[in-house]
Amino acid sequence: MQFMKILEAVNVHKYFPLDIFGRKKIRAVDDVSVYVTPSETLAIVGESGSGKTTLGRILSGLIKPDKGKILYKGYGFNGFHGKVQMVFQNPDSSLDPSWQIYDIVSEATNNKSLESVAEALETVGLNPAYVTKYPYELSGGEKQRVAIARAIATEPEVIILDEPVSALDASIRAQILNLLLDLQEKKGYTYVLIDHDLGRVWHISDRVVVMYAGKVVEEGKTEEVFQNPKHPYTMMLLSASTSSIPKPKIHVDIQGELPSLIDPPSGCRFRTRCPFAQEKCKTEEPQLYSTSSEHKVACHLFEKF
Amino acid sequence: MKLLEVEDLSVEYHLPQGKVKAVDEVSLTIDKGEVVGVVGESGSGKSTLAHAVIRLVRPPGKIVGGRVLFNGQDLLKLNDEDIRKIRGKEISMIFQDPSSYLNPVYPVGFQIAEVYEAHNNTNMKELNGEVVSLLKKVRITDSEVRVGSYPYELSGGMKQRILIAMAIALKPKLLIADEPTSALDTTIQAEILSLLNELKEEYGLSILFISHDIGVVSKIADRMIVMYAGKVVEEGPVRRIVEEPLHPYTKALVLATKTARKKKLFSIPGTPPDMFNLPKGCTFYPRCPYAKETCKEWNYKMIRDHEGGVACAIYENTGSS
Ligand SMILES: Nc1ncnc2c1ncn2[C@@H]1O[C@H](COP(=O)(O)OP(=O)(O)OP(=O)(O)O)[C@@H](O)[C@H]1O
Ligand SMILES: Nc1ncnc2c1ncn2[C@@H]1O[C@H](COP(=O)(O)OP(=O)(O)OP(=O)(O)O)[C@@H](O)[C@H]1O
Ligand code: SF4
Ligand SMILES: [Mg+2]
Ligand SMILES: [Mg+2]
Repeated sequence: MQFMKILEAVNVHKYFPLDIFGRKKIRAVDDVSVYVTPSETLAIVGESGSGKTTLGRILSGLIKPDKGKILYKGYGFNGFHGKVQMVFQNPDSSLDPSWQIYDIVSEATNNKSLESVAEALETVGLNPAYVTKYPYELSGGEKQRVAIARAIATEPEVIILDEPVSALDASIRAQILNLLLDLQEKKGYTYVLIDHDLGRVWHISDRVVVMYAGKVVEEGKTEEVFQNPKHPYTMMLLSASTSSIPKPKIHVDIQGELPSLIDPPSGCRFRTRCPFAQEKCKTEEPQLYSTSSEHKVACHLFEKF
Repeated sequence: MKLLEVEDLSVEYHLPQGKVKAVDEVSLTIDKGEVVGVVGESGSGKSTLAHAVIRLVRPPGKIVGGRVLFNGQDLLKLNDEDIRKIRGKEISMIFQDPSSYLNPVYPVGFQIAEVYEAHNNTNMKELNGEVVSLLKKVRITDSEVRVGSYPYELSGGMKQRILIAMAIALKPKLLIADEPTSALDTTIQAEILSLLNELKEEYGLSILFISHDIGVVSKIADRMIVMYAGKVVEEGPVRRIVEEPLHPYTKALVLATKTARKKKLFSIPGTPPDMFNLPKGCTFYPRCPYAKETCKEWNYKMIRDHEGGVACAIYENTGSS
């Protein structure tokens, strides 16, 4: 099957050296390939520290991978400035504290009229009177809404949203997610959504990529992955969720030692926590096997699940 | 005696555009070993309340009234030195935004060690082992190496866990946790919640647990309070509130957590209140589907029963069961 890929990462690696000699490195993103097709929502889920934000920054062109490449509509990095926007996990580090909200939202846009800024604020559920406020005068949720208003004000094609609503209460959150779905329908935006809340991922995404310790361990259509998870880590994640999502057929309890990212476990990186691990899991790294055309899983035992 | 008794606490922000009553006569109590959840709309004053309890409200904010009794002692009356002794040791806080409370120029291990040193005068070198084991407790891997990491080298959820480590380091009696797990995936979140539960069992840690996520609150809290526009609008046992919310705002909040694939989510109609210019009567009135004419004039009042209470005109005459 042929997909039109709007944004794609091919075998990207990002290692962070721990000392100036680079003898020890944190393998934040370790040979990862992902893509998004136009107007779809790709969710990236996975453990805290598994490399999601780093991958998001690579996809948005903010940092260069050590190895591998990023393609925008099939072309290399230079082509997509402004077309891929990122909304950061922590709004504080991305909102300049000395700027008024008006300046922040209008910064990257051509239309700097007060009305258009007020409109952008209203779309994200903020009072337009906020144009004269400073970030430190806003609550956590209010700041995040400013960050989203700024991203959509530039009319990008792909928006990478790093935990965009984690700081928001349920109602504002619902409003923002509805807004994102609306905008997608009207303007055809493509989203890469990094989110740890599986209820949200279930609700909003078309496809999902599951990361563990710098690697992709499972990917596929959201319905397929949630209803028929093939990787024990995905099962563990789903089993621990407090959201209303399908219960996995195989319940996997949380157990075992978390993996080092400096000196990851040999073979399968999940084996230190996997209840099904076997000798082979220690000696051989599982490849991403295809179980169906779009469902892939990196586990030796996938056929059993 | 309750461990913490907050009585009619009020906090205002004075800004050129006017005055914001971010916390308006809020009262709550926490027993030893009890976990009280705080939920509410973004901007409803949860963080301000948390800061006020340990007197960390900064200008243009100001505590303008009320009492905060900790073991019977009014924290608002203590001098700066005495409150500093209590902070960190007896009462500690996990801040909502870890980045702004971690110093970017020091390794995180050093910052955790400082917590010990400030209160115990312990030798910094001896502390290394202590700090490493604390990092393990909050599930940070490669902890021997990570003590030397700077905040920018850590992921969002790792920074959050560093703050949790700092907050539990000295075994406080009361932990004020402002969105402590908002950046964690479900498995690490479950492990952190069970760590907090262990501390509660082990030595009776009490927690004021602020979260947007009612699902998470119901996993850990015994009781819950719901805030809207600076006021408590409902309080009671978690189960009761989740299964049978009384206040129209709480009802909407519970409804908004229900998700179905690719369907519109329920969201509360209207915009959040303009805090400079709150409506008269019930502040939820302009957005409330149950509003009656009299709500416009209704004076805030908590209608209580043995379990908790609700502040809504609908329950005025019937009395809540
Ligand atoms: N600038 C950096 N320098 C050194 N290490 C880094 C840097 N940025 C990230 N890392 C490391 O890379 C790993 C992956 O981090 P990343 O922020 O991508 O994780 P994440 O999946 O987004 O986690 P979270 O869900 O907690 O936000 C972590 O171990 C982190 O410490
Ligand atoms: N430093 C400040 N200066 C001026 N106004 C402030 C300041 N901090 C908070 N406010 C205002 O006080 C109100 C309450 O803010 P607070 O941060 O307590 O809300 P919150 O319930 O914690 O929200 P969130 O869930 O988004 O974190 C908001 O209207 C906010 O804009
Ligand atoms: S490869 Fe082995 S250790 Fe890894 S997830 Fe599969 S069964 Fe578990
Ligand atoms: Mg991240
Ligand atoms: Mg807050």
